[in-house]
Amino acid sequence: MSAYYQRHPGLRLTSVEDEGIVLQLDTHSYYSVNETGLLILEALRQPRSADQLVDALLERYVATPEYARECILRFLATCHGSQLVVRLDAA
Amino acid sequence: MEKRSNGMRPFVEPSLKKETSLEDVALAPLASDVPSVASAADAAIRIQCADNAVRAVLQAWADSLRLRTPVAVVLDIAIGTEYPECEGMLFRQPGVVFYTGRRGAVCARWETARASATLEPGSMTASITLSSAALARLDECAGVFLGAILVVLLRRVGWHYLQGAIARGPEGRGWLIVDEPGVVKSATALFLREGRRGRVVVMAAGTPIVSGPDVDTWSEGLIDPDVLAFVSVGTNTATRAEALASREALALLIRSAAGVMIERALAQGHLDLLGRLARQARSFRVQLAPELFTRLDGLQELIA
Repeated sequence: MSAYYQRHPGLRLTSVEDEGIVLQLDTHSYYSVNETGLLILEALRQPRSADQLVDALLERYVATPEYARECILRFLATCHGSQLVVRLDAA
Repeated sequence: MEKRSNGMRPFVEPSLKKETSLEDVALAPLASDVPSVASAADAAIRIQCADNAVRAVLQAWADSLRLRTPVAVVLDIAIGTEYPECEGMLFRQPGVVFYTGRRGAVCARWETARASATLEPGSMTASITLSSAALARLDECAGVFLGAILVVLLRRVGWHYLQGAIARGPEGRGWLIVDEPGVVKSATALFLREGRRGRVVVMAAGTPIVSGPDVDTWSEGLIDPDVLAFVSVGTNTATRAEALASREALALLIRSAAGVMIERALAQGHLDLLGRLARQARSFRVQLAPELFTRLDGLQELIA
């Protein structure tokens, strides 16, 4: 069983120089994300599990899968708390 | 980020940084001292009202804006006290609150005196109700409330709002000057126009920062900025300029374009346009010092 994540419907995203600016229309807040954070939020146009995100990032970056997964879960938790991603039913 | 020979890069932990909230950022009233903006059609803002005296006052205000919009914009005014039904709050600025209305409409209320507006989705007509209290302060109502309604209507034809000022310097560069909110009160209104690469349509002028005898200020309706200057007033004796990354510039631009939050369907286009603007220009955070006003080319030298 693994949770899936997707962008919150109130999220709008644009990129500049491999980084991103994220708007949350419901909370009237905005955020900046670094390159890997941008990649994750771009991938979350479609529902993705943490494992799928790890695979996507390790196609481009060098890290151990365990470390990448730990970082991604931490990022997803932060984004979830800021209403930038929603956690979908486990599949 | 440095690339390795196989194209793989070292992993950097993803990070998210909250910039700020936009709830306390206001849309400035539309100024009347604006250059005429050319467009294919000689459209205008039309006031409809059964009360001829009210219509005449408001039409004079609308005409003073000298906006030649791509399509006609109509403010349909009724006298009364009825408020439209509203749902969640979308956006608040001093004196004006925007709400989600029925079936995707945008509603607005003026808080100073009872007045309301309903903007049906996609329509270029705003249905507005003014109470007798609002009529008693008609000039203020027009500048603050109706001006805010116009900002939302014009966004629907791709004229996106940005609070700032623009000038073309003597060296030929286009300057977009954005004041940090609450610092330089002579902020002016701009619209970014969709369909062009970050092109800015000048709607108002006011800041004296780079104006002067050597600067061809406000004479052009359209300027592609080469320089974005985010200005504040400093306590130093010398003016300072610090280069900003595009991402930092975009974050600051959003602070001056708080209307990006209104109408979800238009938010991505507005955000993308601000992103293009941040990418196309060199950006600087500028702390102004009094010496600038006696040495007008000082800022240009700093950003040469």
